[in-house]
Amino acid sequence: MNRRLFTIISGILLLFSGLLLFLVESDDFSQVRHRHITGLSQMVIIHESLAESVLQVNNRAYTHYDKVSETSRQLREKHAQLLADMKSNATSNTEPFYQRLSSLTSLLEKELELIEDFKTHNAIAHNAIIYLPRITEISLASIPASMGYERQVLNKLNAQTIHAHLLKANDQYAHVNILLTDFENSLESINDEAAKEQIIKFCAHNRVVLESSRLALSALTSYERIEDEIDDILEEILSDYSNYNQGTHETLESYKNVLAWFTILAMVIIILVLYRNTKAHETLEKEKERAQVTLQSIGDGVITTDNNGDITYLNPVAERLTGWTIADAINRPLSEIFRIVHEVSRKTIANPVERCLENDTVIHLSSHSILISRDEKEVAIEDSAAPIRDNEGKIIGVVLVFHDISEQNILKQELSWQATHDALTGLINRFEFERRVEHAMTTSRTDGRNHGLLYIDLDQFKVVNDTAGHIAGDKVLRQVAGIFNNIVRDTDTLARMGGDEFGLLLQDCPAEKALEIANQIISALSDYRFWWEDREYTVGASIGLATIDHSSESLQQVFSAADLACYAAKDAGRNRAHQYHDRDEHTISHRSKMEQVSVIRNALTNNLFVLFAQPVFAITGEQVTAGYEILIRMRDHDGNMVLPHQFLPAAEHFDMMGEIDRWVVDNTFKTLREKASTGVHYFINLSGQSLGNNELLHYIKQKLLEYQLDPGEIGFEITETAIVSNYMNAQRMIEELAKIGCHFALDDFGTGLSSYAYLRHLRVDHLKIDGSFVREMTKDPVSNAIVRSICELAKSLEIKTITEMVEDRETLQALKAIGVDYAQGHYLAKPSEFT
Amino acid sequence: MVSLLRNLALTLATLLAGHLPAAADQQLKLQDSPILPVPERLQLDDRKVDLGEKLFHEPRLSGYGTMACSSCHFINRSGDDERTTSITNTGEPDAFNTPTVFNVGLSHHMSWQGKFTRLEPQIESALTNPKHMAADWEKLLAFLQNEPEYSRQFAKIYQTSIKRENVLDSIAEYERSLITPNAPFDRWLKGDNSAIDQQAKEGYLLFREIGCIACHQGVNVGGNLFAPHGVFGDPHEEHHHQSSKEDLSRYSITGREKDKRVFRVPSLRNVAETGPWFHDGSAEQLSDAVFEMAQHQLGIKLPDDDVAKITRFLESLTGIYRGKPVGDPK
Repeated sequence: MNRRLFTIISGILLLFSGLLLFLVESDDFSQVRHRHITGLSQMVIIHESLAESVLQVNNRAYTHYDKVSETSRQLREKHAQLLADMKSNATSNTEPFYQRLSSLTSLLEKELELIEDFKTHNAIAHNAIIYLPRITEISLASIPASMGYERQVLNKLNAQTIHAHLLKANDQYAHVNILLTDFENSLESINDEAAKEQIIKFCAHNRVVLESSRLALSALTSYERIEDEIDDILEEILSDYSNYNQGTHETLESYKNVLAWFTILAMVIIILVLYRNTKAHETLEKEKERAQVTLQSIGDGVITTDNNGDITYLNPVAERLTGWTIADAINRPLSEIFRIVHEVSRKTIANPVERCLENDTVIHLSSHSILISRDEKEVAIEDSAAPIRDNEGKIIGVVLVFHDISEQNILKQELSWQATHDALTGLINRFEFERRVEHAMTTSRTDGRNHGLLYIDLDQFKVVNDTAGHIAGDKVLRQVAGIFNNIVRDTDTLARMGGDEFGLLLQDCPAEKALEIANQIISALSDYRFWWEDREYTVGASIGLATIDHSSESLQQVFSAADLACYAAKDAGRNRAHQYHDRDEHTISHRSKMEQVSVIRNALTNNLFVLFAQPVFAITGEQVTAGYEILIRMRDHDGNMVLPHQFLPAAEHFDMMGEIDRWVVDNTFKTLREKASTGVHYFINLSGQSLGNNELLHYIKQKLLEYQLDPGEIGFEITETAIVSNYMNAQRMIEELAKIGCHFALDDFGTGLSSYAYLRHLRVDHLKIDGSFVREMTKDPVSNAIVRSICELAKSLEIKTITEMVEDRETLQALKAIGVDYAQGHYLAKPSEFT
Repeated sequence: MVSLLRNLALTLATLLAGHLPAAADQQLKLQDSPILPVPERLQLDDRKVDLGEKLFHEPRLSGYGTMACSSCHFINRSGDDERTTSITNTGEPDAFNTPTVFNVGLSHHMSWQGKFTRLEPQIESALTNPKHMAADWEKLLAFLQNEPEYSRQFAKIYQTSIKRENVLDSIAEYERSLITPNAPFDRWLKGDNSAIDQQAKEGYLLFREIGCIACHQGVNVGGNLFAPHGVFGDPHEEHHHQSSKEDLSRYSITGREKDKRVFRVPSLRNVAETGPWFHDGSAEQLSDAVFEMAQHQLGIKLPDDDVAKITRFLESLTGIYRGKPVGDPK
């Protein structure tokens, strides 16, 4: 063949190699892209946490805006920082991402502005509604009794405005607004100027409530819409950018391979030329020099052998990687210099050159090869061997090219680490966890093995986050993750699912064993104490268990089963594990939380709740009815009565207890108005959620006035746990209502921690001993002792005792002997409809 | 059961002691509280704080060499200038009452109009405002560069020549260090029941109950949202607010109709020491300010007795800076 042609071809090949080398070199941007992706995902997270804090503000009576404001600032700064970074490091490919993120600016500003609006109007509405009942009282006092119509409208407007504020619905605002305007227009005819002025003031106050509530709602609604939109856009940019990055990464990889081959080809051609053209010595020298330069400068190791497999050449990279100098290596068999084993099995891999000579083709080695150098160092390599032929096509040797992939491996691992792990705890993230669970499901279908899936939700974590701040919260999450990690077995997979939720996949694990592990986790957490700024915090866990076996239908089904079981565990009192069963009453009743909410909502609007009353008897002397406990039931669509424990947990979960309590108060009062006064007490249960909120206090007072009831007939039952978590408000509510004559009973007494201390500070006049002690007292001497000691203590404090769950004659006798004042239970009388 | 009995014994013991377990009581207070205590210390760069403190008191930064940040923010008093409104470099009264610089790092919006959400631009605006410090960046940087003490300090901290953003950064770091923890109210929040008296406690309950708390909340008891001045009636028409001649509200910077009469809700930290009150300094007495706020923001005519209680509570928000209470002239 023509030598010149060879030279030209190899020249072109080298040119290509150079070009490709340039492309590969320009990959400095992979770091930058990395940073951009991290920044984008941080922005998504901040944006979500902003939404969460706004909702928190909306759902609370007393609140502060520090978290919302701080998160808003973080979002704005992250966005600006990311934009600046993207702008200064833009390439033509990343430019569109910059543009897309930049076009979000006005939308983000709009979003933050809506949050400011919401904060403002929320605060005004809050203030105005607090004082409305008082304004009404003042106004009524200053209007002469002769103005009956005006007094009536005043009362009505007061009630409807409060109602509209609570319902948070635009049509309600509009409705009351019409009433208000009509009323204002009718004021012209009033002659009493003082009364008129007071009524105008009253109307203005109502208008402020309505207007600010409406503006707060409208800001919140617009915010939620725009929040959704931004969320979608951000997620889209993030996912497009990640895809783009992935693509670039792969392209670069293939560039590298092509580069290696171009270089080799060029080199082989040059060597051939050198070999064949002994006559043209000068040219040959030149060519040889060029080949040397090429081989010296490329980043790959190159070894050539003759057709026996003995070394003829090593380039400097090959010298460094093998630890042999060319002088020492020459003429030795390749297998001595180039020792390779499999990364995992450590078995020696067949010599590529021999295989190449045998098969007469190019051999690629798997990427799991480890090269062991002369001084026993190990390097991960990727290599290939190709035959070298003479003019007639006869094999005269082999060229072996290999390169160090350990650095590349680290980069690859790092990339996949970030995509699959949670940055805070270092555990794998939800996405990766779902993938592994799915894998476990697939294998389970083929090999019939069972696995366990635990869904772990931390209890009381919110307390840490809310009181000590999220830095402390993050610390707790990391420490808790460490505790979990110590418990799980090597084969198990622990993941952070987000927030304070963790997932645990137990490989090859029967349900009993999985429950055991769940209980280990709970007990390890119960020993855990977290200290922050001289205060101690504890956290617990509620764990749901679902099994994965050949019958598992889908990922979604398995996850929702574990989730439901976790929900049931929370329901049963937290800090426990619960296993999901298809036919489990717990989980069935909670099959769809959302479904339940709509059922409850429906019951509220269509009046499907029914009140029951269970008589409470005085048992110290003659057994007479002393009062009733009011209970709630719900009528389902078949007309059956649903018991409270089946819907109240869901109502509590979705913050609907306030509405239910108001319904019970309103309907109990309404029924009582029709009844003649008999001097007995009616006890209404109030939930913790209502206690956290001053509005109920005003509602009760207002309803007492509206139905003209004697407050002395009304009693309320509050559990210790509800009081502990809303202490300030509970104390106020009890004080205020006790002042006008209402009674209070401390419910479920004996199960809390500092019960007795509260008794001194709260004006309760009844103690209701927890039913679990009463039910056990004839069989269990300890329960008996507890009931007795509570009763003695109550006597010394002049507080009456009530016992519930009295189910047989023996118990009643025992209670009489102890001196308990009142008793209720199925043995005495079952609850019946309260009409 | 055994643990139950133990609890029973424990609670009986507490009953004998006669009050709530202190830790639980404190936890309740904090958990329930819309007001959070000022942190006792922050993680700051001490070298920047030192440098920032010097710059804060340096009149040679200003265009005429006569005015420093400290000319309107008296650090050894209450962090403001104790005047009705601030004065310009020619001695004319300006539009706004000077807000205190104490705890400014804990606020989320700066200035009465909430122009800024970060300290650095706020500082730059005060530095370069022609009516106030009237600084010229070029001259300012040259001055610092030629002053060996400053140039050495800057080089040590920032490792570059003196730049605009570094000047702002060090002053901002100093301002962040101006926190006033351990106010009596904060100590009460953290569990010291005797830190405030009965009148202040009743004042706090009123403060919560009548609604002041809805706007004045968070660690700075305000400073993190906007509200219209005058929800019930217009205070400008009924009182002698100086600003009636020109609009000073947020509207003047945003031009949005809904921002008319809207101001940043100010922080109430150290409020007893930062009179006169309101954006235009129109309230001479703290009790007048409380009365007017209740009247126009909440629609309530507050009896004198209640005003006194709330004022007493506000006095308990005065914190400690460098070992002495804010505003204490000693």
